[in-house]
Amino acid sequence: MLKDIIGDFISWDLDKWSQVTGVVGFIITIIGLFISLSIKSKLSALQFSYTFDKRINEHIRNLKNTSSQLNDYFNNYNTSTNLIKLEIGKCQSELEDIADKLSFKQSRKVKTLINLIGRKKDKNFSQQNASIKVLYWPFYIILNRFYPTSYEDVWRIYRLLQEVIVHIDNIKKNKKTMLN
Amino acid sequence: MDSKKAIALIIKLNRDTIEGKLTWQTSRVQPSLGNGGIVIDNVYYTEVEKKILRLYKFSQKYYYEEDSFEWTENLRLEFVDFYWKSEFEFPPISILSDLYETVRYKTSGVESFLDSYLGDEEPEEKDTDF
Repeated sequence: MLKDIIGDFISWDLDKWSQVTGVVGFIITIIGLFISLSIKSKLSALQFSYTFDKRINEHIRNLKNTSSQLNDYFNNYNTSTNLIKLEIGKCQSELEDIADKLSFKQSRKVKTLINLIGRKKDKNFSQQNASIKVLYWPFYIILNRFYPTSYEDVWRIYRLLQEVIVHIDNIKKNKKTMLN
Repeated sequence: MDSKKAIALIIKLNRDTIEGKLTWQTSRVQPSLGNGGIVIDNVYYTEVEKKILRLYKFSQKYYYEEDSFEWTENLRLEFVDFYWKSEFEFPPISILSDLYETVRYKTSGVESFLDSYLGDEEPEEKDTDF
């Protein structure tokens, strides 16, 4: 049996051999391509993870600084509205930088805060004791665009910022646990 | 404890303190800490809904190996009973540092000091128009 098979191979002419080696070579090239693509994606994931680990502490530190600055400004709210505007602007850029490093699911909370800051920071800021008009949907959505940013809005940004800090801290801790 | 609820509670305490709805006092009773922990600065307490809340900063040894350690600073907010024994500790989330700074600022009396010492002197404008 084995002798017959070997005999068949020996009887092949050069043309047939070149066809077979061509096909085998092609298959090996395709497999090699998939292996290199897989290695490349794993290397990118490692590189991404390294960048995340290197920068995340700095991001958390910056967000905590913003939180502590906002807390300080609340003590003299009426005279600090422009400084609050500046601080939440800085916070928005920091959050945008963080959102790029997170997966779609992980970045939802961060994006909610980015959108809220985007809607509020460029408006005029009302004084602490300015009366708040309570509006209900759909009037709220339409008219809210024309109202200045209130003291309550800044507290809402501050509250969401705290949730984001805890959220990012948890992602960092989970990642550390997974690596151990 | 759900971190969202803990955040909401600490923000409410912080906001009420800033707005003067909640006042804190310094306590002479030192909390007992394990692991050779030391209380740093004052211990503050307040009463909310018939519960006593205590807030303080402390330093504690953190062992990363059997005989290697470093001192770490932490903040603790807890419920205490009438004998100042700890009943429940809230999670040590970062926002506690904001509450602690607000409480320190308010209890130090720096606002009334500045008002009485500076009197009618106008401070330099803190805010600028952009």
